Amino acid sequence: MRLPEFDFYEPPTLQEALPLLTSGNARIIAGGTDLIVALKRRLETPAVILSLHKIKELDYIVQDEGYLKIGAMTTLKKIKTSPTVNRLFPALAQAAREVASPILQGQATIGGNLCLNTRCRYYNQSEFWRQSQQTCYKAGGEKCLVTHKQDCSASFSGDMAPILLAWEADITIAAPEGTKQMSLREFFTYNSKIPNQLAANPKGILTEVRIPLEKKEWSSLYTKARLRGSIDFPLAGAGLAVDLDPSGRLCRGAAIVATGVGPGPLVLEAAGDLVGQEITGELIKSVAQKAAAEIHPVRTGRIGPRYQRARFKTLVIDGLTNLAELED
Amino acid sequence: MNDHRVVGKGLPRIDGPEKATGKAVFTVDVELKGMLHGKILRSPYPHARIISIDTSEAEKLPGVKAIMTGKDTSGVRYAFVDTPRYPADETPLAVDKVRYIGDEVAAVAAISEEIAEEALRLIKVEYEILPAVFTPEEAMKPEAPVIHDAPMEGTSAWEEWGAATKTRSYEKESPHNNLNAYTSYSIGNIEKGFASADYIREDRFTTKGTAHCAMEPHAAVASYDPIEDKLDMWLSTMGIFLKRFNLSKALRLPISKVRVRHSYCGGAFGGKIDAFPYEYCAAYLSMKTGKPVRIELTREECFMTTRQRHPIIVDIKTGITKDGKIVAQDVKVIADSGGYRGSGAIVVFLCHGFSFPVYDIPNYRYEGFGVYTNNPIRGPQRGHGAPQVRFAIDSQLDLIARENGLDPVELMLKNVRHKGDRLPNGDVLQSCGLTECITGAANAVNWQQNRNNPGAGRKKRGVGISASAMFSGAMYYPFASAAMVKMHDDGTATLYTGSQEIGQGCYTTLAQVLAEELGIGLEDVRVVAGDTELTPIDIGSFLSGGALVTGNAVKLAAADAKKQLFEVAAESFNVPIEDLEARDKRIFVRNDESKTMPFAKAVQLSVFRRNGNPVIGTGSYKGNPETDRYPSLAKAKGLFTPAYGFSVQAAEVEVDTETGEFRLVRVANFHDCGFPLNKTIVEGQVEGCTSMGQGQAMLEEIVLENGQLFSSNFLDYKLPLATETPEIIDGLVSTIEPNGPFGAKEVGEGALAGMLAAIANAVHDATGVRVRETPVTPEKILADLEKLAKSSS
Ligand SMILES: Cc1cc2nc3c(=O)[nH]c(=O)nc-3n(C[C@H](O)[C@H](O)[C@H](O)COP(=O)(O)OP(=O)(O)OC[C@H]3O[C@@H](n4cnc5c(N)ncnc54)[C@H](O)[C@@H]3O)c2cc1C
Repeated sequence: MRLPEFDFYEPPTLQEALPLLTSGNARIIAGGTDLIVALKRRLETPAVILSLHKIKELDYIVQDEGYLKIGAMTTLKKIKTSPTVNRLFPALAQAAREVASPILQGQATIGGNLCLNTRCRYYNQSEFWRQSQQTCYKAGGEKCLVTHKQDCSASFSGDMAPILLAWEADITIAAPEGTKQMSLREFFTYNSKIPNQLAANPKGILTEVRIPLEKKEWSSLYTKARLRGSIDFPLAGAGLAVDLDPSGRLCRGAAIVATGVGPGPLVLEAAGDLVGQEITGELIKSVAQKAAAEIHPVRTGRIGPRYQRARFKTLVIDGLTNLAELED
Repeated sequence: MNDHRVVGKGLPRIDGPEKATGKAVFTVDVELKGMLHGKILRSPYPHARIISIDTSEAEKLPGVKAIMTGKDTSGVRYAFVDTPRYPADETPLAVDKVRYIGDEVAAVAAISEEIAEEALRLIKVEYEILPAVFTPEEAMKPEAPVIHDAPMEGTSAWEEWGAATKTRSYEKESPHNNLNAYTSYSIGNIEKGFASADYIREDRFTTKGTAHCAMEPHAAVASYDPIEDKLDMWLSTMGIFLKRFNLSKALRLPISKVRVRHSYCGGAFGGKIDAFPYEYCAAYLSMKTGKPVRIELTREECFMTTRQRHPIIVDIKTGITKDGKIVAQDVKVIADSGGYRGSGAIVVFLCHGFSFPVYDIPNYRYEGFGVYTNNPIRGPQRGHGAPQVRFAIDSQLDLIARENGLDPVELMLKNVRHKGDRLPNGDVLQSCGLTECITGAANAVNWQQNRNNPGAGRKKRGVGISASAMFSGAMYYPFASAAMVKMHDDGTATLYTGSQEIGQGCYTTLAQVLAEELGIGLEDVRVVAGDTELTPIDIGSFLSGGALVTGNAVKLAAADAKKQLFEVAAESFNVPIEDLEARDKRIFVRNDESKTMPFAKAVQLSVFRRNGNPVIGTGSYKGNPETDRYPSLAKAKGLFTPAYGFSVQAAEVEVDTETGEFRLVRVANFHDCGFPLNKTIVEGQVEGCTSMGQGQAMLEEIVLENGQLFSSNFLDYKLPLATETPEIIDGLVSTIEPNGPFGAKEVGEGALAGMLAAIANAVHDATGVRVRETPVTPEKILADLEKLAKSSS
């Protein structure tokens, strides 16, 4: 499969990059690990491709103003090996290690991971393949080929978002008209067809992710189920964070965020049941049960939704048990 | 046996340096002057009639040099199997109908791949969509849509060659719809057999299609010379002489006007022997343009169109006596061949042929059906039928053992065949290490301690075991291998062989055979191989005949060269030829150390005294020296192979009962290869089989919905990774096969087949869950664990 034709720009600064976005049908390329596949399959046929590759000002990990700040072009390899990240937020390094495979981590960026398109077995296919079917809703057709509804159910499968959402991270978007800050939660639209504010025709560039430093006191982890030990997207993933009092039992704050099982990274309400409580095995089970009931996976991949839900529940049970340092 | 100098050792491969340094040329690397690039337009529909094809827009695209459609090749038919009973059913490009998604409709040659791909978008094809059918059992029903009409006209390739005469049509033997192959066989009396059994059970097991996943995609380069009317092809293939045979027939060129060369081949696993449309398209396009044309398939095309392992349904009924003797077995196999026959006629024969050498069952009946559907075409893949049918037989045997409180290992030992046994078709097991393989593999996983001992925690452990058999070559075109050993002035030698290095290491092992027989070192041998013009004929690297059939030819050729050297030396020393021996490139006289002569000197003497004879040894060996006939695919009669390789796989798993996820902890893979010509290469084959078998047991699956493939890349098709790889204990059981060169026979296919049942049985041992359909996945295990929990509460 060959790439379609497009104009390619690689400006060295953000300032030079931004005007190129207004040229009409443009796409941003960071590591390209997701976009190149989409281009070869003609899922995307932009007139212009804007590469952020040469913009060195977007590649950094620093502590500043009570935040850990990470530039959008920082690779996952850099994140997983960064001493700062491993000291302050080891769960973030852990999440980076769980993305795709070590080779891809060297190329993939955190910005690209957050902007990752949603996936579905009817959508992520070649041009030839898609000729055999009606066009799916996400690709511009009338109906979803999974649910047969006028809606898209493709699932968000990024591994970095859950733990960042659990810590209430925010992001910076640079646009021709100026720079704005927004919470990561706002950034995701939970619309499978256009999963984030910069999807489709991007009007800006995601430049930075910020994690509030106080969250480093929380016990956190990212846990993922996949078919094989590497390469595979999550069939379910959970970002878990709990704020335990010094006794290590009483829970003062909690977050559970799911990925791979819905239109975006899902912040689940079940976490609220942990707050103000002493964490016990029983409580964990009931929270996990409730969390699993909040997700509504659709058969967008090889694995059936029933198994995804069951597996997600076990992820939450095992993860929380681990964080609360309870015995299995 | 210990006095071998070259064979039996784990010597480094002679193709290693070239491959490690990137110098090796694979077919995808072949670049010829003025070469064009070909691409193929394929059907997006599983079953449709072609109303019209309009290529006019595509022809106008600058850079497009030629376009061909079914019109250009109409009347041409070919197939992997082309016998009177099973006449060829494929055409290079669809003529009237398309029968699966991916079926070839048109081909373009252009000055770049981009332009060729763009041209495909401009070809307009109008289809009338026809009703399609996707499961063999549906397809067999009388009301199912008919996928192939009457067989095509003309005589089959095997008739033309003189190897076959008309036989009975299979349609008369079995009335089912869409049948493309039928094999039936029985011995003893099945009814009486079941009547004498104390315990009988019936089960159904099914397997999914799997892909070969060769690293190098399928590719062909064709270069036609209009002045000589001669076609030169470079193919990534396993059998250049079979390819030449099929190409010459389909292209209507004399066989001597087709030259097939083999470049290095980046993996095959059975997937590069079938006859493929892209090869014909490359040839036609080159003939049409007078320029070389290369067609390299995309990974998606490889998954979709280069044949997959047959998904097979096995219905099996077995009866045993109280003391564990299998007295009757009735096996019915239905193979989904896809849109064309592919190797359907062979697989329904091999499901029997690769299986009945394992257990000695007095009353046995076998029936195999190959059925057309509108799924992708199926062909040979490592083990070709054995994994599917062994999965059924040994899964059921494990169930029988459990139900009767017997130990599966003892049950196997009680029923396996032994050295000296004569099989019902007449083949005699001159070597058979089944018993040693079973005990060896069982001990390696601590069978007795680990069996029925899952442990109390959330994670349960279990062990399982299975066995299989495999041919070492058979009578299939071109039926024989020949070899030539050319001596050089310095006493070294060059081997000319038509066999092909497909990664299995045959250049090294064949060179070892030569070196051992002749009395020189491995470093003294060069190999010229894989070129129908330069090298003698060869059966090819399939049906696991390389070591035995080609190995024997090489050994005989080396012996011939040695004899010629000895003759001049005997004359010169004035001693009887029997007193001579050779080692280290020298000739010695036994019991007289004063008389010795370097090979170099003997070559010189031969030139001087024998009218310039530079010493060229030749040798040949047949697919089966004991018969002139190929076995009957229909009746499973006639001799099959000169020797059977045997193997046993034992697996230990650990299952997380909360998630169904499981880990393959350890595999003991014991293979009776007769004698390991190269220990490292044999271990490599056994480990490769282990990994491939593990994948097919646990992860891999050609996922289809209405004939459409959902697993056509390495993200969606789940090959096992390093992270999944278990501890592997290879056991090489040496039995010294009298028919094999230095005792060698098959290795490289059989050791996969038992992995499926071994793993399914181990999961059962750990959890009580029985998975009857491969792959054995966490999703299936968890669903069953939930059911078990419900029924016990
Ligand atoms: C085999 C394979 C396995 C994979 N497995 C996983 C997995 O397990 N988990 C997982 O999370 N991902 C996985 N991925 C997807 C992908 O590799 C990662 O998500 C990666 O982090 C994407 O980053 P990138 O820089 O390569 O993105 P790109 O491909 O460059 O971009 C992805 C998308 O984000 C947009 N984009 C990128 N950067 C910006 C920015 N700064 N501002 C605005 N928009 C932007 C692009 O326009 C594009 O739409 C896998 C991919 C492959 C090919």
